[in-house]
Amino acid sequence: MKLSLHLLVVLLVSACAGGPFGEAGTFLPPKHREALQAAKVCCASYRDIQYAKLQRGVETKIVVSTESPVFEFDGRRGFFAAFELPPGANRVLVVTTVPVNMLWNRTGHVMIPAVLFLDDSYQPYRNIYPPYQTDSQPFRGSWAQGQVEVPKDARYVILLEGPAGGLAWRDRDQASGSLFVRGGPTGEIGVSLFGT
Amino acid sequence: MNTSIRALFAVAITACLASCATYKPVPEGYTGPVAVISDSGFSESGSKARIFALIEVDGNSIDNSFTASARASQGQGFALTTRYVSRPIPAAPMKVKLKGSHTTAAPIHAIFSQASGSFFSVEGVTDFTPAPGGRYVVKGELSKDASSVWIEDVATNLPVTEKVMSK
Repeated sequence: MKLSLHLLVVLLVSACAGGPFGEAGTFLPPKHREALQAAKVCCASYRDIQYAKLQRGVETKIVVSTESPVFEFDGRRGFFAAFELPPGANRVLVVTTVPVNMLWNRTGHVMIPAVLFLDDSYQPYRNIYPPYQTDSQPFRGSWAQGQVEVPKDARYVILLEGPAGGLAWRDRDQASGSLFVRGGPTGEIGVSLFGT
Repeated sequence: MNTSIRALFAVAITACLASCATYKPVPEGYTGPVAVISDSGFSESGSKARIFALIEVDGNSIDNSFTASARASQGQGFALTTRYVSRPIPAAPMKVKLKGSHTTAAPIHAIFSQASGSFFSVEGVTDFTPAPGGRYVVKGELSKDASSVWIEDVATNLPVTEKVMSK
């Protein structure tokens, strides 16, 4: 029994600590924005960005942190994740995001990605702010999900911080019944592409 | 640890894991065509709503607006927070279970609504063949005389499945 308890404690503590967002009690976005301003811009143009290949039907999880590349998007700097999309006509992109640094709820934050599509010649032609629906389940925790129809000619997609100020999750421990998590330039996101 | 405690742990862990598992209509690694289907509904009051949802695909329960709304309303007493789920599905023939029903945040409210004759529900299985790239919505009607639920094509506003009727 003692061994099981020790194991449980170790598991719980290790689950809370570590990673680029493991600073309990510190609201990280101001720090991360400073890092963003100080960082070197990775690329002169959209063409120079490195795009990872996105596979159909497989969720790709990304940590967007202060180590991520930085680009000047229409005069606004941002950390980002960039992907090359397999060609197709009826494609759907599902973007998920999870709140991070939540050991003390009030100092957690969440990245609420905007979805920027580029065409074959690396020209941005649609920037979408998908509505994110929040949810949480025991064991899985909290997450938010948005769904975007991929424009026919889209060849590349970039996920970067969107304009939303935060997201609210149900939380019975809060007086209001919901916990508002503020947005930030970094976070843990996932992306899945469906369709042919 | 004695045997009975071990057994209890095993049962608890199995139950917990089973409750976490949700069938994904589009399986991991699926590269075929998809369509998108959304649940629908509307609030009748702050504590009661009508929801029309896709709840099973080929006999497997999927996350839907009933379960999502129940999760979103936990711990709020009588206040209902509705969540309407939209998800990709494979564009292939399938058996779907549709449900149209009133829903409430508090079970006691549902019991009183049923007793007073203002809580209606219908569900059933029907065939559905989504088209690649199709956009669909689950629609329905709830009334004392007859309730029904079906899937509609968003582009044409026409039903694309049989209407599941209350008996």
